[in-house]
Amino acid sequence: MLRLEQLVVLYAGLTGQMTANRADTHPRRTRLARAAVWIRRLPLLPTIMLAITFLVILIGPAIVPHDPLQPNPANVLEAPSRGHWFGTNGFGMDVFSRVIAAARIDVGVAVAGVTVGAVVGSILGATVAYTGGWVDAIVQKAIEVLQSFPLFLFALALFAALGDNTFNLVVVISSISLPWYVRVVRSVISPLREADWVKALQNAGASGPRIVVLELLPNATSQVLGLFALSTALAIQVIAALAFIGLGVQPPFPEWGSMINTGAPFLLQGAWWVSTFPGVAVVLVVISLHSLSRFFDAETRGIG
Amino acid sequence: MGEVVLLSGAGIRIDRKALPPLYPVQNVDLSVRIGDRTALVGESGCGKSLTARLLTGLLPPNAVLDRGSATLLGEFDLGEEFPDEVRGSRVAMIFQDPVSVLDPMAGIGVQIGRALAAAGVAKAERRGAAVDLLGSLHIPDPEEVARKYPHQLSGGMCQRVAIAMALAPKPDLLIADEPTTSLDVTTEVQVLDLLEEYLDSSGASLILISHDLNVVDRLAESVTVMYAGQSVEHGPIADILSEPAHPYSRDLVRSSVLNRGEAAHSIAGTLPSIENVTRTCPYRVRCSEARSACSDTSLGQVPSSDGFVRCLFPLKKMPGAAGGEPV
Amino acid sequence: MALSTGPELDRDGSTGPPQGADEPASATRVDVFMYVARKLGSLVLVSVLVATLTFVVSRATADPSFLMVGQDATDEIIAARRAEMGLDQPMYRQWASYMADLVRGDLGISRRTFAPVGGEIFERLPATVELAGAALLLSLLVAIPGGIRAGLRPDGWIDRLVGSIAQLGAAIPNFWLGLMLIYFGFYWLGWFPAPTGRGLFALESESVTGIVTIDAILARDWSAARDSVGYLLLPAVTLASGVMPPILNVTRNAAVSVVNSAYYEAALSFGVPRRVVQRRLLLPNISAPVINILAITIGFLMGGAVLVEVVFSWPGLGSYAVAAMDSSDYNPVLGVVLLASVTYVLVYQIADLVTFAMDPRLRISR
Repeated sequence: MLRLEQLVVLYAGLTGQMTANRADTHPRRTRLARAAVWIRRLPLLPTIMLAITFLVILIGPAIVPHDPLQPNPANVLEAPSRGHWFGTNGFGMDVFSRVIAAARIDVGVAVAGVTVGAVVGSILGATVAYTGGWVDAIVQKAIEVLQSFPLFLFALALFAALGDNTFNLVVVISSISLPWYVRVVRSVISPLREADWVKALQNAGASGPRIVVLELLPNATSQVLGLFALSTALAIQVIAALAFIGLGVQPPFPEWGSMINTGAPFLLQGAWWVSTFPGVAVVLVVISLHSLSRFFDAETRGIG
Repeated sequence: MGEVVLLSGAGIRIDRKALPPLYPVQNVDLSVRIGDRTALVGESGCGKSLTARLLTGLLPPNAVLDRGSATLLGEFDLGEEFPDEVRGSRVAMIFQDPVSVLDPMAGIGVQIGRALAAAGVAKAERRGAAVDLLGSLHIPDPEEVARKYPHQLSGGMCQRVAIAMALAPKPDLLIADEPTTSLDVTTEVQVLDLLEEYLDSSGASLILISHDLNVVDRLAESVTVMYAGQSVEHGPIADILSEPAHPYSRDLVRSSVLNRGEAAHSIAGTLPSIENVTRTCPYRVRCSEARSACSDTSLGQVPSSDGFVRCLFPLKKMPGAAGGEPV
Repeated sequence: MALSTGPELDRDGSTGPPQGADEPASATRVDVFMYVARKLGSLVLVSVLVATLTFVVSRATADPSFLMVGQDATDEIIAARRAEMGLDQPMYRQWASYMADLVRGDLGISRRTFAPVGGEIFERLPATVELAGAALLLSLLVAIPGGIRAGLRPDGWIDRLVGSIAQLGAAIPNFWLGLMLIYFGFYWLGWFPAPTGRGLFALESESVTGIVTIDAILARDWSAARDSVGYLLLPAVTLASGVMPPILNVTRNAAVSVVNSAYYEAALSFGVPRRVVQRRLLLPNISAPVINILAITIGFLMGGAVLVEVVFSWPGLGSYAVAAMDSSDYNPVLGVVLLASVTYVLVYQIADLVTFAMDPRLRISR
């Protein structure tokens, strides 16, 4: 389990410096060209893996061989076989179907929460970077305070305050990812505040919000995309971890973390498959997101 | 041991991840004998500095000697792994940016001590030797300087400290990569004096890399002009300054502030791409003398009695050249 | 990534008295004093803000009085209880008394055990410290040499190998890794004890430090030491797998930037042997980012490695917080959060001071 600023450091380490080095050239012209380059050079394996995940989220529940919620007392703790590829759990439910069905809640809630955090955080970060002054200072201090909380315990305490349900899970995920976007976007955009082309836009009468959203924010695109992949990975880990200790998504509803938890006692009886496969699912999705994030970081360093 | 440095047709390839390799150095001939003072001149990006890195065995890990041969001190093949102990005592280097060349976390005395240790000075004597060395370079109050850290010193002082470290093991070959570019004029004179003093007293060889022909004129006896990774002309400094054979040499001398009489004019156009190795003349697109043959005839050397030019239509008949035909 | 970006912005030498021109090599005392004072101020400020946030959460979770008296209480009993607890006071008074309690080390009462949270945390601290220390040690043993070696030859085979290990470590949820290690280490191989906590009972002598492994070694009780290491190893490896990757990445990237620096190349060109350059020049120059990430790691580990402790029934702060959470007992959760945050801020400031003391560019003004 990583902590917010640990990831920021990790991220900073990967990207080198998080400041834009194109302070004096307006980037609009190259944007489309760069998007085309990105799509052509996306890393193959993680992209395929994420595409499969996406497909599974869309149509997974329709194609699973068994009903993920159907207990079967006759088939309790059956080892992986032709009929049950990943075996069955303590209630005789098909583990493969459950792993597939869980993708929707795990990745879905993660993406939903992170999207909210990313949108709000990016706009906030760009705005304070553009405004500067005491607003900027206060936001920085607030982020410093938030960062001193251990991420997981912070999520735990937030859950305690808000109450335990899926909507609040989205709220928790978006509030732990938000400060991160503020910080990264702010660091990219702050050096641009004094750029000549920004001054030119101001002189031409462009409004503040227009400059922030349409002109400044796009400069942080690759950073935000990289961060999006990274924080979605983190969110999936947090959701699974919370469910593992019984918060958020409740069994028997299929969710990777709670599946790992319910399988834990059976490990000591030799039934390894109940906990193992949902964990493998988490690892595969998270690793794919990490390499995607590294790809965007490399783009930040390289072409920029 | 005749030649201290012998490069013939040397080229360097830089490998890049997921991108085609670069060939920043393509075809360099360079021969330096004991006691020679040679300069490499050319625009920035022509491969001078990379050539210097090659000579000290300090190419970046993704750069390799790709073509031709390179021999140092008559015994070391620069295409192979370079023994660490050769550096310092046999060949040392002076760098362009003196401030970033010093270890920011260590005191000056300690840093010079490290270089002295490499030169075999016993531990107990290092501090004193470091101070003596600083003193011998006419640094006022060497005791005080030895106690300081790099960030407390001026650029000129840092360069003198770096020179002290380079000269500490008494190298046979000194490579100076733009040693005065980042210094002001008075410091530049002092630093050049220091280098000359060392060369006179030790008889060491010098390879001076510079784009400043004033500095070259001051220290070097012969010049190799480089363009786009190729050595295009070599000869005594006086000849090249007064009567260059290669059009690029002429344009370079003209563009230099050395000729104060006429207005310095810059050369139009930019350096060609280094993604491919060119066999034809790389300067033809900018050259005022270019003819149609330049773009389809591969280029050879026209040797002379004391140099060479790599041009199909040199500006003068090379002295001692047999027939003047390209080989 | 400096955490406290505020104070650094206005660092200037003008606050000190005029420096003697002959003695610029020694920092003026006032400069150092101001620096420490600023750090201390930042520490106090952030701690107060952190505590305020936990105060807000504690008032938002549920009315503490209701939780104390049970469901059958009449309005009068609740009102009396509220008055007794000071909950009828205005918010700023409540905040002030909350802060005053904190300064005295009073973190409230656990409504599960009716014991003071401060005492319960103190009892469980050694277990967390032992696990965290072991995990930190393991991470350092892998990450520092591995990161330096990887950085010396970027894209070499060591770089790829440790890079992959770090990638995997960052992706694997450590509670799942813990379960897998239990399956292989305990069920399959039988090399490790069941995940039932620490090897407390093997130790016959008096506890000195509270850290079982160290106590056993101090008492020269080798069988107890072996036992407690057996209990410690799997959770420590699990925890290390999560905290090692960032240390490794930071070390590697710092090493890469030093190896690519002009001064590294120059030192080699002056004939300084590679071994000396790597020890005397590389190590000090990568120290600042490495110390920084270590501080973050220590802060994180003190928060209790919640899930690892749960998986291995390790009786530390993390499993304490989760157990309290399970019975909607929020004071312990907030207590652990507060302790972890303040420790984190403290360690971070200490790391900053260490960096300040080590780096002549910060310590000595021009």
